[in-house]
Formats: sequence, structure tokens, C-alpha cells
Amino acid sequence: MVDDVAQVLREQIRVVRPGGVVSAVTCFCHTDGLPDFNGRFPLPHNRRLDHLSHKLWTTFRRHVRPTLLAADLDGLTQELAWEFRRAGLQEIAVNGHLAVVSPGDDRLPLDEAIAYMLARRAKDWERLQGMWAQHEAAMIAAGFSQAEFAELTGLVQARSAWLQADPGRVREVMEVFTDALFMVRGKKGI
Amino acid sequence: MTQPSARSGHFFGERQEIELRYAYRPEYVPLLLGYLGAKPNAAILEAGCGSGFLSRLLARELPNVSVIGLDSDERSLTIARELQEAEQIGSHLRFEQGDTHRLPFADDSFDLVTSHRLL
Repeated sequence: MVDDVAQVLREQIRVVRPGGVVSAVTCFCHTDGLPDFNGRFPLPHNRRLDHLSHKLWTTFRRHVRPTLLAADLDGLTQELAWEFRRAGLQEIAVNGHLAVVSPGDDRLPLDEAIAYMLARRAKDWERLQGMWAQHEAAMIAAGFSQAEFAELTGLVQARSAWLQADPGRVREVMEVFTDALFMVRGKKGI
Repeated sequence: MTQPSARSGHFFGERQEIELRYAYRPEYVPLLLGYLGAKPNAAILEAGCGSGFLSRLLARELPNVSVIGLDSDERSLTIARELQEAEQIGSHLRFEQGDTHRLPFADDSFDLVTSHRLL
């Protein structure tokens, strides 16, 4: 993804014909997406992991992210439809789609399911650590303690270790990953 | 592939083909084409195409379109061309290297300019 959305959009409008369309599929990456479902792991701590994971991201979304969103909206960096309008496009339309991936789904070959799971887990770990590093003080103030974060990361690591001990277990746990996509479209004036 | 911004922190790397296959199941494709404003006979540019999933889909699904997939990363473009060949998609689709901030095309060249997780 690019940081300078306005410049990239200007270029796209330049090369499209009058009456032509500029469109984009984007996601909720800027707002840290939707929660993952932790699946049905046969691990004693899974319920606790679900609880802490839900609490962490709910705290972030309710108490920390809105402040960030307000700040970013001042710079018009969050709302792509707004950027389309600001760039002069007309007849703006927005549609959405909830994409779902499950490594437990038999339609995904086992080797691909394992590769996907490992890559996804690594990325989610990075996301978890990155969020905490950036917003630790705000999260603690909002009610998610340092001790809870330490417990959560320990449980996540234990689950990863259990999976990696036998990657074929991806078929047993029925994890589901979601990414809400949305499409924005606008027309260049004639 | 276009480099991710530092803040995006989003999963979209080597496994993108798997994720996109799920995101765009066949039953969803007609809706997607409508949402994106893709029509037959159009000249289409996908900016920041990565391994070309959307470009290939457009070239496969729409009759008589010409599609250019543009990306700055030659490695992604190599993968895109290999997949194009494997899927037997003809020369109405081509991949070019270029910067999405300064598109190497003349004004008013395309009917549709689209992108997937670029903006």
C-alpha cells in the first residue's frame, strides 16, 4: 500500500479518459481490521486466549483507535471515498465484501494450508507486538494491563508451538481468518 | 509488489494468491467486476498489480478487453507473467514495470484504472 494516496490517485485520474472509471479494492488495514477467530484448539488455555484476545482488540477499537482515526481523518488519510471525492471524481460508489480464509478448509491443499497458517501467524504476531509497542500507555489507561498482555503473548506462543510441532494440525483447528474488503469507484468528469 | 507502508502491517505477501483465491470465489466475480466498473472492450490499467491476480482475472473474465498490470517490483512481475502463461491468457494482458506515483502513460489512455489494496 502507498502512503501518498492523493498523488497516486491524481495519476490514475490523469490517465483515465473523461467519463472513465477509477476504482479500488481496499481493506480495513488502516484501522487494523476485524478480529480473528481463534478456532477450536484442543488446548486447555484456548478459552482464556479467546477471552484475552477479544478483550485486547475490543479495548483497542473502542478506546484507542477512535482517537487515531479522528487524528488521521484531519489529514484525510483514512477515508478512501473521501479522497476520491476530493480528487474530483464523480458518482462515487462504495461496496463491500467479507473475504474468509480457513486453513482447515479441504479445498486448500494441505501444504498450502500449512504455509498460509505459518505466514499468517507470523504476520499476526508482528501486528500484535506492533500495536502494543505503539499504544501500550493508551491501552493500559483503557484497562488492558501489562500482565494481561504478557499472559496473552505467552498463550499465543504456546499455541504456535503446538501447531508447529505438527503442522498437519491446521486441519484439526478450523481457524478462520477474515479480511473485509471494500470497493470504491468514481467517474472522471467529461 | 508495491512496498507496504510502515503503518499498514498487513498480511499481503507470499501467500496473496491463496488469500485472493478465497476472497474472489467464482460466484463473487460478476459482482466484483460490476463494483469495479469493469466492462467488455475496455482498456484497463491495474496499478500496483503485484503478482497480477486482479489483472489476470479481468483478462480472463471480460471479452475483448486489453489489460495492463503495472508494478514497480520486477520479481512480482516475473511471477505474474509465469501465472499468465500457466493460465493461457493471451497477449491482451501484459505486465509492465513502472511507478504508481508517476504512471508511464499518456493522459486519457484508459477506460478503467483500478487497483487492489494499493490505496
